[in-house]
Amino acid sequence: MNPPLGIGRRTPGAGGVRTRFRWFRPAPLLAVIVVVAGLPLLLGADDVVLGQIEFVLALSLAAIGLNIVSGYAGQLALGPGAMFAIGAYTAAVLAAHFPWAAGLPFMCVSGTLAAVLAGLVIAIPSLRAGGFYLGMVTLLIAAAVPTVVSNLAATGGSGGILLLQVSWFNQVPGGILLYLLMVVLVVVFLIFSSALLHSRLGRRFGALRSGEVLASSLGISGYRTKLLAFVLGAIPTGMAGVLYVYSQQVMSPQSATTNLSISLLAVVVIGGFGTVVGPLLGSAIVFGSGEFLGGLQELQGIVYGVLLLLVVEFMPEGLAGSSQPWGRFLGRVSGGRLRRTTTAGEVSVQPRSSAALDVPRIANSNKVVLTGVSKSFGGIHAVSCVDLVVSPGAVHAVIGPNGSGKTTLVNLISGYQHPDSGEIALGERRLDGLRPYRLSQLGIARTFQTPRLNLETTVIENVMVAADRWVRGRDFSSVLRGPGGRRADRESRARALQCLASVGLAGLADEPADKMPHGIQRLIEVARAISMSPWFILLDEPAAGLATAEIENLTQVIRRLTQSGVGILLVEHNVPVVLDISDEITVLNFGKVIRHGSSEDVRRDPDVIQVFLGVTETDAGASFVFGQGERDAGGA
Amino acid sequence: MQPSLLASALVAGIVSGSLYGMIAVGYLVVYKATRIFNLAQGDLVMVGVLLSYFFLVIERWPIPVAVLGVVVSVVCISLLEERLVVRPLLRLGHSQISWFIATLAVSLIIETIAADIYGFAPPEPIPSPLLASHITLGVVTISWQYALAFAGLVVIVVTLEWFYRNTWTGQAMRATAEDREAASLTGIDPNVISRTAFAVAGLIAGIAGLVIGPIVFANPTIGLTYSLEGFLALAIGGFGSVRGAIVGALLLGLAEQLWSVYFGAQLDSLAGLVLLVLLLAVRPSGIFGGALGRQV
Repeated sequence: MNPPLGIGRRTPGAGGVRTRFRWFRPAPLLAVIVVVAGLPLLLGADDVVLGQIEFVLALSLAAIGLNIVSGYAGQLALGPGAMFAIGAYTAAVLAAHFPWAAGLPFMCVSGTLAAVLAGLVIAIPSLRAGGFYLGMVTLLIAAAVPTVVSNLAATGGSGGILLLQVSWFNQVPGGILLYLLMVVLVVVFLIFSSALLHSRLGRRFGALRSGEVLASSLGISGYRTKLLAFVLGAIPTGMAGVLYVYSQQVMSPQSATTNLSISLLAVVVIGGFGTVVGPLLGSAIVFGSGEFLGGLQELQGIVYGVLLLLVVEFMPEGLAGSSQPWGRFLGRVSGGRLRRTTTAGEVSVQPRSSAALDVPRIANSNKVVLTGVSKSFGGIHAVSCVDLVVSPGAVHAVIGPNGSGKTTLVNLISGYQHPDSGEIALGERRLDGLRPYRLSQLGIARTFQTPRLNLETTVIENVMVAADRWVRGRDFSSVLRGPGGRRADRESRARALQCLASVGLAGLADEPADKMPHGIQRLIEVARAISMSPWFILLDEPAAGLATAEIENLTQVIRRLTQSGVGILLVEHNVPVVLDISDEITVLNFGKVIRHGSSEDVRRDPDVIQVFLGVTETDAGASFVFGQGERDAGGA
Repeated sequence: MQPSLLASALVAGIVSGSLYGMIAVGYLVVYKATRIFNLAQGDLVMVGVLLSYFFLVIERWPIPVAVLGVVVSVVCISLLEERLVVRPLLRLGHSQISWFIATLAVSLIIETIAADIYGFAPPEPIPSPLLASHITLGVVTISWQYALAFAGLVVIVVTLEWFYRNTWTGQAMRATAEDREAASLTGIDPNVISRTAFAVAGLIAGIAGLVIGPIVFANPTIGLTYSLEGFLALAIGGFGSVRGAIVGALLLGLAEQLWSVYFGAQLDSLAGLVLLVLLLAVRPSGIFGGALGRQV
């Protein structure tokens, strides 16, 4: 499916050579952990103190789980306390009833499984809602769990379950051994969490975090991806519940209140949303202070509240995500999310003139055909009765004044809006009514008028998330760095690099995306669309904000795309560019097609000139500057 | 089942529905003007209840003075939240996650302060300043306090509708709800809008605290529960309209009461959640829904 890719040698970015980002640096990580974990032992901590530290460790595991859902995938899910409680209760109830279920390994398995199942059950209905709605629904569930368990006989009612009183329950391993085991588990999940962040799955989560609109334009099903995030997040959270009940030997409704979920949220926010070590750091601060500075009980809520407000307002990236020296240090040590540490220097495009583009998957001869498509918003007819054909291997441009319905047209074809009447078809297949991610999977890619990128990561990862769709590989193999996953990641990277090279951005591959100027971000979107090997690409004002040389480069790219059989729908204000590369042009005004023809026809058309300039045909000599004039007037 | 039992359950449902409705309307006023879902709204009601207990029962202030004291205090807290927490976030244009956490933090702070002041005393009933007599309608007897709670909801909704329709500020707030950018282009100051919205929401919370005070217990930790119930009402009725909020709130109150009649009172707080989950499966945008807004 993938022909050998002719990748040119990587040219270093203008800002200097940047080493490739490493997701895992074992040496500094281990050094820090050995020192921190060894400290209590050196100071001769007794069992009580160890128990307190184990409590903090268990909750930091739960925070790691919440961070996967909220930090990585951007879903405001506030019910980690529910999964924690269900994991803990399942393990405890089984251990209290059956001698064979009272060992740590079995408890880990049973509790984690129960939490994962509970995660699924919670997620399937609540994921139908998004945003703060999801947050509230999950918070309600977190509030319901303690009510339920305190009313069930099986869970010991409001007294809970005391493993201490179970004759066959022995804490083996216990003491220092248990403490060390928990440290190891926390480290394992930290590494897992970092590996996840920099895997195929992590890239998809990142796209989702940047918005469901972006994710679906890349063929990613939001629902399925969120579900995966919930399940993955439930694993460490359930494990946390088990370790909590094993170490403290008691589980009661008071250990699973709504406040637990809120505290866990505080942990992740203060530590740093979407960072790798944030959850650990945050737990040390929030739960550690609660355990070891117990004297300030009455003030705790105020302190946490104020701390949360300060972090949200002044340090939204949290401690571990901060651009301060300590945040950078933590990022380096843990392989966390990329931080803005490098200077991008002068950002420039390096056109690659030769090289044919990656040919689309199976050759396509079907056209996208719009018949009588209309769409109104309230009383405004954004698009009315438009007929339009986009053919493979040709550029069909749509021009028209602002508000003439051009972007609505792109939204209709790509499934972000559905027509009120009329139909859209690709060959025999009806496209109207399909969801955006399905359309993108069917081979219709698009770019956005305002670039939509995952600004938390690098340029190339933004393209890889789309390229991943066309590289065979399993998600979990990629997370666990199995041979198949590593190969797929390499292929995806190579493919992404090739697509970046084709728009002249190979040199910027490893730069942070948020450092890129607007024009470059547009080109990244084009490269991303190309990497999906689409049959059609809908370009929504790709030349806006580009410099002359970059526009030249872009038209080259579009030409080569059409040569390899891709059909292009081009919405653009820069009329000289449109006249230069289009095979067909449709002119819209107030949602209606006022002219359709070749670029030569349109150039001469008096109606078109009048719409754009408000002049009659006697002034027709001005036809070539109208694009420029409108752009200046619009202050673009 | 005895008809009188069912009837009194229905009355109780309407009364608790009135409380949820007042919380939901408070949410809505702020949400429409600022797109912020203020999680501290339930805590404001809780403060209203505690203060009416304090002023009426402990300090024994005359009723009009106490009423004024409660309302002014709650409005001040709400405005303080707007000034110190919400406005900086609005200015910075933060994400949903940020303000969700910020208002949750405010809720946490209010709850802790209230609990510190109230102490760990057990929840206390607040004696009603009203007559202890009842209204009798057939088999149902309704105490004056219950009637007062429902009347509170009606007065709030009617006044709010009047405010939205007939005052310049109200119309400006409606315009902002329709289209923020267009509204700010016509010279509507977004700061004035958000300040007014929080003042109105505070007013509603204060009144709610006063009228439900005699029915509920003084309990400083109940705020988040109120907030969640208010959200449930909105989610069930359909986000965005006052009508949806009221219908959702009354349905929620009735569902909880009927649940406790049929299944026992221990798990009645689950009724709303069950209702919501069922609704999410059938009609995710709620009964009068559709205004949740696509994010494209």
